[in-house]
Amino acid sequence: MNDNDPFVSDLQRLGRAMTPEDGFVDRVMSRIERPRSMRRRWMVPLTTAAAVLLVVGYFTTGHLQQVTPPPAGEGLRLVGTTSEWQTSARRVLLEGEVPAQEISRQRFERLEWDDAQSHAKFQRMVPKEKITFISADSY
Amino acid sequence: MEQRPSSIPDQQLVTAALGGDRAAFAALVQRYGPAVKAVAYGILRDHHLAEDAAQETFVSAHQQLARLRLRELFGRWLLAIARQRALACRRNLKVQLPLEAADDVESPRAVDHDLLDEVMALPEAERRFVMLHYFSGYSVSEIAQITDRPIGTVTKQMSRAYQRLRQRPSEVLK
Repeated sequence: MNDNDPFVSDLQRLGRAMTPEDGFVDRVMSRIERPRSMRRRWMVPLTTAAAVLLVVGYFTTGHLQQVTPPPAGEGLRLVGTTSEWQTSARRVLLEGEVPAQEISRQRFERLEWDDAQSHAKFQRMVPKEKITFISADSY
Repeated sequence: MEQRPSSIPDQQLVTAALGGDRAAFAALVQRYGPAVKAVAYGILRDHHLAEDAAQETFVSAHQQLARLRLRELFGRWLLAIARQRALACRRNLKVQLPLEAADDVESPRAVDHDLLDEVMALPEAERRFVMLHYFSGYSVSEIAQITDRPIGTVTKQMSRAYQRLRQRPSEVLK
């Protein structure tokens, strides 16, 4: 191999063309280190926030709704629902328009009640976070 | 590249990088940057895409470094990743290969595509030695040290590579 050979110059020119732009090493290293440092920086606050949200969510949605049924004589309404079966459940309740729903049993996913006028028994599967009990006066 | 890489063997740098030595992996990036980019450019024919693929290659290599059993084969392993990355990039982006005539022949980034193709067509070890020598600027003895091969082997393979490249059609016609 003779370094004065024009062919060697061709190879060296090709090598220069293949040289990455300035700062390439720094860019690679910052990309390698970014995820790790972000994980370190955000892991504790994110985990804490998620735990707080879980606890708050548990006590402000399903849990409290489950343990505080509306008193007898008050209406029951589902709000914040969009899917068809949920709309159907809401329609049934609103059509009844009677204050005598008696909640016989509540669970996280299922509601059962008796309509005092029609003596019909209703049962719906409802996600607990979609359920809110309000007074019959609000109809 | 800003600085000439050291000639510490790949194997040592990989071991140090696995131990969390940032500078060791940076040295590997500097050492193989041109070779990785050349492999990617050979497939993508675009400087920007090739640099992106080269970055992806090193990030991926860093993530998988612990899986590399034979650390002295880092260069070979890395260039295989570069090829996979560039092929994936070409598939994903449906890259339209630019016309070779679009390159300004006077530009320092102008590429002799025929020569690059010939280099890429060399047997793996010869190709790696050629790229370390002509692209990254290492001497033959440094390449022997880096790759943990006898200097005679490196010299012989470099000579073979040189002969092969000399026999390429465009050279023969000159």
